[in-house]
Amino acid sequence: MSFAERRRFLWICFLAGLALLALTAALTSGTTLTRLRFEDLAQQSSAIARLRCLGSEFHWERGELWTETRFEVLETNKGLLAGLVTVRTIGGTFGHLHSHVDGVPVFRAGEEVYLFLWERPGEPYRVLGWAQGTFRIARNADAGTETVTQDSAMAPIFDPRTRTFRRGGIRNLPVGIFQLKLRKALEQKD
Amino acid sequence: MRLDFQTIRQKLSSTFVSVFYLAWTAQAAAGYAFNQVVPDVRQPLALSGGSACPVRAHQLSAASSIAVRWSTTLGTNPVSILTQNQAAAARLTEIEQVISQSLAVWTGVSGTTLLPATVAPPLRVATQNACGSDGLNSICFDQADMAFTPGVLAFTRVITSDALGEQIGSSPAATQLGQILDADIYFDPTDAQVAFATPAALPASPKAYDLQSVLTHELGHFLGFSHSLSGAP
Repeated sequence: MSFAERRRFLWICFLAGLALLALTAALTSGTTLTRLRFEDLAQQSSAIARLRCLGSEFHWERGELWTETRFEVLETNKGLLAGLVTVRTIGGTFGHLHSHVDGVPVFRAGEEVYLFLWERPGEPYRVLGWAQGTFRIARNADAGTETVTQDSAMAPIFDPRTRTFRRGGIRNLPVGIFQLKLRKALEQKD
Repeated sequence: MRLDFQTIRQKLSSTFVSVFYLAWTAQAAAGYAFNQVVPDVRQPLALSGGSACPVRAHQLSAASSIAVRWSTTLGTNPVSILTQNQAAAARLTEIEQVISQSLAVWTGVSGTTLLPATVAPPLRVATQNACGSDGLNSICFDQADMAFTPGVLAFTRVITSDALGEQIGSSPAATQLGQILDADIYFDPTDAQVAFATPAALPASPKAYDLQSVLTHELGHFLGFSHSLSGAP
């Protein structure tokens, strides 16, 4: 096989891989989200905190099923938060009914996350940008390290302007570096 | 060198085929509408068919079709839907054409059981807050919802049942597990930075989001595709 043929073959592999990624993205992506940069998240959020999930409750309100998740505040990076905070997300489970919206973060009791919270006066907190404002903390017991991964890094975000899906976000970033990045983004605001 | 390259090529090819197959089958398993479900054999024979073998889901009879209605109430402050023709009646016609064209993208997929006849022509309703858990599938352009935040342009909320006989509002009782009982599409009407434009209006509003593109995407969820694999509710 000549060099030109080899090069053509590798190009075909590369393009086929891209097509596969695009197909997978198109089928797995959820709600239509517009990209928020890390600095946007930091600036537009009402509060930012490291939280531990305590549990969730579901209830109907205004004809929709909602999930209210209670968190213990472990560290506050922006805003004023009490020791416990409740975050409301759309969707949930009630008996045999399941209300689902792609892109809405779901939390499990015991897990720790950094959340960029957003609120309107008189209403419970929401997660800013849903998957984009959710940063889950993973602990490596062997190495004794913690890393942060943004939910939107795992699911591509649809850009309606270009009609394409783009995967992006923070993935496996050591907590210390994440905190530095966050501090820098918050300082930019001032 | 030649042998090495052939080995690499074979490995690349087999890897690509494996990954493609896994991705494809994973997607097929993720969506349930127009796909397969496993009947609940705990249910009476008439409901379960007496078998736990996967069966085709949502094989609609000729008499039934998926009803879609849309609220003709459009936001005015801010104007969230931009059309080429500004006359009130023409605006609605232009938007309805976008809805029909977006639905046609899904019903036009080759080989699918989702045929044009299985989706009824979109029906207009004047109610502003037409979306809700009422068993009626709706599209709303001017219904403020407590779920929106900056960065969320539109979303589709789908209510399904994991038991037979369940219903919500005026929906028919579930005859299949995972059956969609209600699906609504919400567009964000409150963010002054966000506007959607019909294809005809897009050239004059380059900063607006393409309504047809967003709607086509959301209608995929509306029809039951792309459910989360994360165990979300």
